[in-house]
Amino acid sequence: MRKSSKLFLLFSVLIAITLFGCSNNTEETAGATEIPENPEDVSGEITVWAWALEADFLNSIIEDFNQTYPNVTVNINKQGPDQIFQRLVTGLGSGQESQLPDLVQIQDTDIASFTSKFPDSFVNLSEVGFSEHDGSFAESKQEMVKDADGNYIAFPRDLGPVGVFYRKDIFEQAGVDAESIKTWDDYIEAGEVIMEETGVPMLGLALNQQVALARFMIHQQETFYFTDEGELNVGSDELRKAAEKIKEMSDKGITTNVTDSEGQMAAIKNDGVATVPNSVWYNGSLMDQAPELSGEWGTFALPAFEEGGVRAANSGGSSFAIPNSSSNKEAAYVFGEFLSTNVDMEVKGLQEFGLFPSLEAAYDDPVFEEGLEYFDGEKFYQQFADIAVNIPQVTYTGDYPEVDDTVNEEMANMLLNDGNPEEMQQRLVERIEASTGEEDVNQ
Amino acid sequence: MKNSSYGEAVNESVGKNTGSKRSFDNPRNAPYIFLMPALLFFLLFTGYPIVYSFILSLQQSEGNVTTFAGLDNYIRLFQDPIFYESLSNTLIILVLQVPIMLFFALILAVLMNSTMLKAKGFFRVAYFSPAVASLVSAAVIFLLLLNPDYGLINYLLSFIGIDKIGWLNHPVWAKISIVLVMIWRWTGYNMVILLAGMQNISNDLYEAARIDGAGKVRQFFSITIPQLKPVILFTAIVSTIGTLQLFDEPYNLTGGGPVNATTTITMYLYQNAFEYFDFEYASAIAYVVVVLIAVLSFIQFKLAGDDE
Repeated sequence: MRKSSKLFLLFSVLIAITLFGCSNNTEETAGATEIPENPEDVSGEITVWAWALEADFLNSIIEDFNQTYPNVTVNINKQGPDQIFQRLVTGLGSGQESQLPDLVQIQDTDIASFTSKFPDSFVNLSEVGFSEHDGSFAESKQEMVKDADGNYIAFPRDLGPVGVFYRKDIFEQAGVDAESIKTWDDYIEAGEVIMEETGVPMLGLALNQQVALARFMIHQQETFYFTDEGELNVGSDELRKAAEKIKEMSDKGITTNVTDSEGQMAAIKNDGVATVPNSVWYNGSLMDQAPELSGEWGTFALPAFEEGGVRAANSGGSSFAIPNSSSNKEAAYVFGEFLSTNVDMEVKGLQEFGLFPSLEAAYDDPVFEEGLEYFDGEKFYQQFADIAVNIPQVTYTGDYPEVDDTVNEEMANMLLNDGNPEEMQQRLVERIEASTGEEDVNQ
Repeated sequence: MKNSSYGEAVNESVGKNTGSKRSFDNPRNAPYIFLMPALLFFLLFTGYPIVYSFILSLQQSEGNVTTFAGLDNYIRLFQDPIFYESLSNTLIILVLQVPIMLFFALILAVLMNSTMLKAKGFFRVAYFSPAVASLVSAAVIFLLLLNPDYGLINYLLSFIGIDKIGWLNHPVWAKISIVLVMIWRWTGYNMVILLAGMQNISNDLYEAARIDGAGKVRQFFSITIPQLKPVILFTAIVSTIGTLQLFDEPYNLTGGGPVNATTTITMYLYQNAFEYFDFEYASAIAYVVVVLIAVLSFIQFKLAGDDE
C-alpha cells in the first residue's frame, strides 16, 4: 500500500532525537552574557526563526534596529510554526545545537514544555539584564515567559486578549442589544432570542479540534489547569462550571458544531453564527477571509460568570528565546530587547501586521483610539487593550499540551454524547492523572 | 568457469610465498563487497534505531534525568484507554477498508484485462493517479466535498431529501469518510499489482476451460483467483501493514476527531512523541505496533495456507 514505511521513518526520527542521548545537552555556559555599553561594539550576524506575520514584522524593523546597532546583520528565516517547533525539539533533543538559530519564536504555551523537558536550553535573560523591564508588560504575559524560578526565558512579544466578535446586523434583526450582555446567563438568553427571531445559532463549536471556549471560561475565573505551584487542578469547581455553562448552551440549542476552524469560517461567511468568542488576532482572519462582511461586526468583552466578575482571558501569543548554543548571544539579546520593548516598533507591528503587543506602554499610542472600518468604526484595539490589562495571571507547565488535548476531548465528548459535566470531570481527572502521573489537588 | 580460472590467476599474482588463501579480493567475496554500502546504511539508519528505540521504551525521563523503568511504559500502555481506542479505530478501519478495496481492485483488474476494453492506458492511469497525488491537496478537496454544513456531497444529498450527514464530525461517519478516502486512494494502486499478476496467467488455461464449456464467471473463480492467490496475498499483507500505519488521511481530514474517533495508533504515537515529548512512551507504542503487524501478517500467511 505504501512503499515508504512510515514506522521506520518515525524510528529514524526518534533516533535522531536520541542519538546523543537526552542527557548530555547541558553545555556549560561560559558565564553570563555581557552587553557592551556602546551599541556600535555589538557586531556580527544573527539568524532568527519566526513564522507568518511575525516574520514579516521582524523584517520590517531591521532597518530601524540598524540605526542603533549598525554593525549587526539580522537574517530572518521564515517558516511555519510547526516546522520551527519540530526543528527546535530535534535540535535540543539530539544535542545537535549547531543548527539552531540565535533567536527563535516560541508559542507561549510551549515555553513550560521546553523549560521542563530541556532545562538550560535557553539563555536566562534576567541574568543578562532583562529584569529592568519587569513590570512593562501585561502581567499575564510576564508570567508566561518566566521559568519556575521567576527568570525571564523569552522576550515577550504579542498577546491574545479574548473578546466576543458579534454580528451587529443579526443582533439588530433580533432586537438584541450587545451592551446588555454582562454575564454568560445574559449571553444564553440573548442566544435564545436570536435563535427564535432569526434562526441563527449563537456560536459555533469546533468539536473536531477544540472547545477553546472552555479554556477561556476557566481562565477568566482566575484559575487554570494548574495551580500557581504547578500542581494539577482539573478537578476544580471552575472547570466544572465552565463545562456546565457550555452544556447549557448546547442543551438550549444555541450552538452548532462547525467541525474545525475552516468550518467556523464557512459558517461565518454563510451567516451561520451570530457571535465568535476569540482572540484579538481573529480580526485578521475575518478581514482576510470575509471582507464582504465589513461594517457588520462589533465586539464586546467576554461575559462574566457573576455580575461584576472578570471579563478577560488570553489565547495565543508568542515570544522569542535565545538558545544557549547561540554563538552571538550579545547581538541576539539586543535584537530581542529591541523587538519586545521598543514602543514605536510594537505600534508598528499592530498597525501594519495586526500583532497585538504585550508592552503596556504601547497602549497609550493614538493608534488604539482609531476606529476600524471593518468593525463599523469601533475603537477595536482600545477595547482589547482594556481587556489585556485585566487578563488573570495563570501558570502553565510542561504538561499543558497533553492536559489541554484531554480537556478538549472530554468536553467534545460530553457535548456529542450528551454526557453530564460531573461525570465528564471525573473521567477527565482520572485520565490526566494516569497519563501525567500527577495527583490532582482537588482529590 | 571463468570465475575460477580468474580466481587462480589472482591467487598466483598475489604470490605463493605469502601462502594466503584468504585474500580479500577473492571473487567469492564480491557479492558481500557490493552489498556492504547498502548494509551499512541499513544498520546505521534502520538497525540501530530499532535497537535503540527498544532501549528507549524501557526508560523514562524527567527533565534531563533518564532512568531505567523496566516495563513501566508497557504497563501504562495496556492501561491507557486512548491506546485501546486508537487501536480499535485502526482495526475497524482495517477490517472495513482492506477487503472492500481488494474486491474493487480485483474487479477493476479483470475489466482492465478484458480484450473488449478500449483506451486501456487511459483507464489505468486514471485509476492509478490517486495513489501518486499529494494527499494534502487531495485532503483539501475532500474537506470541501465532505464539509457537514457546506460541503458539496451534503448539498447534493439534500436534493434527494436526505438530511445533513456529519461526514467529518460524527464519530461513525468520520470513520466511514476515512475508509472511503483510503479506498479512493489505494484501489488503483492494488489494481495495477493484480493486473500484472493476471497477465502472467497462461492463456492456455482459459482456452482449455472454454473448450470444457466453462463460462466467464466460472473461469474467474476456478482459474483467475487460484492462480492469483500469491499476488492477492501480497496485496493483502501490504495493505494491512499500510493501514495499520495509517496517519495522513485522518491527520489531514479529521485531526483524529471527533473525540478520538479517528485517532489511529500511529497518530497516537506521533502525538506522544512530538506533541508531549514523551519519546519513551512513544517507543513502547511503536514496539506494540510492530508486534501487531507481525502477528497479523503471520495469520494471513497461515490462512492463505501456503508457506512459500
